[in-house]
Amino acid sequence: MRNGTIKKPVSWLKIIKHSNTIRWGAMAGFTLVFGFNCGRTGFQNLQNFEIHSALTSATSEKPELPVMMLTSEQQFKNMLSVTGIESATTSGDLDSTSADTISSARDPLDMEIAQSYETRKGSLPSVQDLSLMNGPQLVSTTNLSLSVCNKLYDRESNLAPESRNFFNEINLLATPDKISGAALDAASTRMSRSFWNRNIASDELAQIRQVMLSEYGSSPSDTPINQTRLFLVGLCSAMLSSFDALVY
Amino acid sequence: MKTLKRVLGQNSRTWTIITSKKIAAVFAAGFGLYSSQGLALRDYYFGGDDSGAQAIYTFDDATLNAAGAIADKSGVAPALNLTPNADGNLLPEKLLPTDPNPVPLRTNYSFGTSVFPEMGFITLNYKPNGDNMAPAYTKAQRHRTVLDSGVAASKLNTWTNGFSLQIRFRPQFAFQGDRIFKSNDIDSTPYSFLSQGHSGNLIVGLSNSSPTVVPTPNGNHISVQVPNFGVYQIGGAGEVGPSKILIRLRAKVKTTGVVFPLDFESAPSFISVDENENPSARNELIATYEPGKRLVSIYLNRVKTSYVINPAVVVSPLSTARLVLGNDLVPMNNVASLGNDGKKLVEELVKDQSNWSGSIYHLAIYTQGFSETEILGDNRLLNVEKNLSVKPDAFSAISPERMMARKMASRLTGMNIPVDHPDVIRMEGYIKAGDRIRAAQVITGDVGLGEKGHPGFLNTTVKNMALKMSNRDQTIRAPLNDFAATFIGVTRDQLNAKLLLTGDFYYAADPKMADVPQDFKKDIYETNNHYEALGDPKNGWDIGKVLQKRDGQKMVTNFTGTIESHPDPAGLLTSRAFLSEHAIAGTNRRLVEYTFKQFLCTEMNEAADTSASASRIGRDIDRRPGGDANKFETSCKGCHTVMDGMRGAFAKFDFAFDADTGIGVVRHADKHASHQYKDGQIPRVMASTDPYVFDDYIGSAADPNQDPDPTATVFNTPQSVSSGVVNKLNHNYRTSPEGYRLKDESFFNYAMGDKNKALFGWRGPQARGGIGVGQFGRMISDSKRFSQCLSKRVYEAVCLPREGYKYEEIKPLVNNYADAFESNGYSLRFLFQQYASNSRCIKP
Repeated sequence: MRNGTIKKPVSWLKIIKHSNTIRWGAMAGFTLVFGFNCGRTGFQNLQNFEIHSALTSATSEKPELPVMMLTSEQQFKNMLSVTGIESATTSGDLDSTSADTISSARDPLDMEIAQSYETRKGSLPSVQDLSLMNGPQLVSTTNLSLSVCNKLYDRESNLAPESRNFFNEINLLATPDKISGAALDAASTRMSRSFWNRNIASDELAQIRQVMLSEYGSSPSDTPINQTRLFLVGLCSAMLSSFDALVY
Repeated sequence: MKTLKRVLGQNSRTWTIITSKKIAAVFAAGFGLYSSQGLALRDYYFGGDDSGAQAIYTFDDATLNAAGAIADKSGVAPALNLTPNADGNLLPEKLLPTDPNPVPLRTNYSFGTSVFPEMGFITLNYKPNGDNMAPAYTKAQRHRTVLDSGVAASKLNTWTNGFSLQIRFRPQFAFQGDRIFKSNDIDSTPYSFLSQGHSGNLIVGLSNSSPTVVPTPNGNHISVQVPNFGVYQIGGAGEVGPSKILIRLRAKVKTTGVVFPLDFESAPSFISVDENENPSARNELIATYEPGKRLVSIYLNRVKTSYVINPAVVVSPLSTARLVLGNDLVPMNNVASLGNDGKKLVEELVKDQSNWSGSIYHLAIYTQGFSETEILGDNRLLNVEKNLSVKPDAFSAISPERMMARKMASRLTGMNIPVDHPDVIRMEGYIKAGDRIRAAQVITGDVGLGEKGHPGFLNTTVKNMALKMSNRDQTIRAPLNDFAATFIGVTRDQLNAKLLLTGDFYYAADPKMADVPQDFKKDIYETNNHYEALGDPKNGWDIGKVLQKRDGQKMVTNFTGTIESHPDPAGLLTSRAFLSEHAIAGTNRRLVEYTFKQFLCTEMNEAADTSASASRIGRDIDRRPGGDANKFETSCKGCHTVMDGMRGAFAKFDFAFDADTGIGVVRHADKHASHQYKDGQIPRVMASTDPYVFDDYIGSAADPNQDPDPTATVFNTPQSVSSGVVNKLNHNYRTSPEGYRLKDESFFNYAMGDKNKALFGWRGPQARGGIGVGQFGRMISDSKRFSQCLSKRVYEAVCLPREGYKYEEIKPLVNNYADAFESNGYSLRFLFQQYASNSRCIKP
């Protein structure tokens, strides 16, 4: 720690301002609708069914109606919980007097998450009534999820592929167009298990593939690492801020 | 991270004091965490890198050696002799390490003198260039002294004046463990090693002479030589010893780091200002010695500045310099000699000053530049709510039992728990074995089974349930408060839930485990600072883990200004949160209403009984509302018989809030003085903002017992006291003079009609009434309805029924669990486990 360096993360603000952000927003909106169980047809009568061929041994569970919406603090804690981010403050304190000072032991990404929550919590739900879910809440949730996913990516990128939780098969150094369908499916499936608490449906996988690989597989003028970072942070955020992740 | 710049050459030894909280301290007073559990707890609380203090002193009576000096447990340094300064100056004859007759350690040291009661310091005879001191930058073994024997360490007690540091001493004081220093000023700046200019003047450093103030000529920077720093004669005849000015800079009221060169060779020493506090200044001080002169060159902002030392300065050689701990204040006795500029300078400094107080029990001396975290470890890492990094198993099916387990976990923690979480997998196993209760216990925890539980259970689910009960809006979007913290604590410790309304205790954060404001008066009694900091999600404290039960509710009186035992404790009913919501203004009827609402799940109109006696209904209730006596008899009376009958329990309670200062205090007629006034006098409350003081109208000379006439007085806040009953309970007496005048704390239960008897199931010795809040709480908690209400609340927290659900449909379930709740010692945890395991509650 004495010789620790201050890490300079890719700020979620940069992600927001990236040229792909508009497309990410569309993706998020797409997934929000998608995650509203609308991607699954006739869910009330749905039996177990198979998903993608690479994961044929896994089956999806019968989805059910959610009961309650997560409130602001619950969403914050929930996002940290399902992504496995250790805590809101893995080191140091985040009070306003020290927000601009960073010790070598403190991760700026943690502070970013905390700041994002602090900024957004007013527009996050204050009650658990599902009927009160609205657009501004979803926008705030998406923003918060971006910070969390940024941290998740940062953690994953520092791990060997076999040690990662979600992006095991993905070459983080290559451009997104090099991500195979199977690798994307695997990442999506893992995130579905953690964020949505169920295995992903095959049509959901197909839609993710179509949207992500065809729309975002091209190479904008950015480093390959950053392109892939944005790609995966976007995917993570879309799933983490979707309806299934906001209810329980 | 701020690092101290290079100081001196190789052969010199350096003492460096860093005032920025982020700059490594070369030597630090380490206030490590101690416990009677010895090494195990030390390992638990300490972390950081393994680098060492050169000497560690524990002010422990048990470690006094035969000569009465404190032994160095590191075995490196000489014994430490603590000598209080009688007059702010050193006592050289007591300071030498070879002193054959060291002053034995006393348990109480007072700082200050008759001339300067605010200043003074203890002197440690740790001679800077003593032979036993290891050379700089030597990596020594880390020695973290703990009170292995469990003997309470001696304390150096100081008086309280102004800001107090969060270093208090067990067992008499709450202990802010595992910090270097913690300033408890308004900014609550944590980790302030040397308290900042505006937050206290604790100094650890070298000192050996009378205080002197030396202004700089350019006015941009302030250089002050303060008593705790050595002032060395420079130049001139009779010069002795090394010659370096030890300068303390104040840049924008922040004290910067100071270097203490010890051998004053030609190599310059310099410091850097904390860039974060003063990013544009980047002050650097280089003080050089010019032999034979009293001119000192100081480089500030890389600009050479020179000034002349006041010739009247008394200097002393390094040989008498000693390490000191104490108040670093600018003394006033030299002000006159400084001239106008100097006087202005001093006045500017003085206004920033404040004394520190606290107890010191441990001193660790380092000679390397370590960060606070390296020295003290990071307490936070151990006590924040932590999530597990769970690797999803993408290739396996999710069994129905796993899905059920996940649902149970999510309901109990208030967040989604990944299906591959180890706790969920364990729960799956229990569910497959047919033991759902055991599965629920994995998440709720269980004291008997040694199951720790998931932090989300207490920190989210239980907390939200309690928060809703603690405020008038019944919202969870409120800061944590003492009500909710106590509720969480009672749940965690599986105490009898009836204690929630009768107990003489409260819960707060263990100061050894959570770095939150801890001053009882300022942060718990007058404000909600303590709990707000504890419950702030950004801080991430594991609330359920760090809460500590504190026996004996307390009250700060204004008779003596001290903290005394609460005269009538009643658990949550006498919590600051509950009283701040319902005892503020009004007539204390709201206290009864919300007690019914929160703990009996009954709205007042449900309990209304127009057939009951109206004998206790107050004089402020109109018996002919709108001229219609019938309306009173058929409507108003119903609720007021119950409310007015019971509000006497709260007759002595009031809550006052001062919007200017943000201070809000619970007042009790027996504990808070009143300011008496008569007709024609403007009550002090109109001009004063002292929330502690009742204003007591004593009427005219002819009738001192007459209640205040609202048309004759000029106040609108009925805060006065009469006959030991808060007067607001008897105001507006002219409305119905025949009504009841509340005289004492007695209360009667008029909810005893047949309907209400069946509804509430009154039981116990206080079923018909009693005296005071404690007995009122007993009446409520003994009732059957109390158990049913808590059962219902847990049902709502776990089973998440839709808004407007039909209670009658689940009433049998709720009542059954209420009976089981009573049979199982009123354990709230038990209730949560029962509901979570019920398939009607969480459908598979």
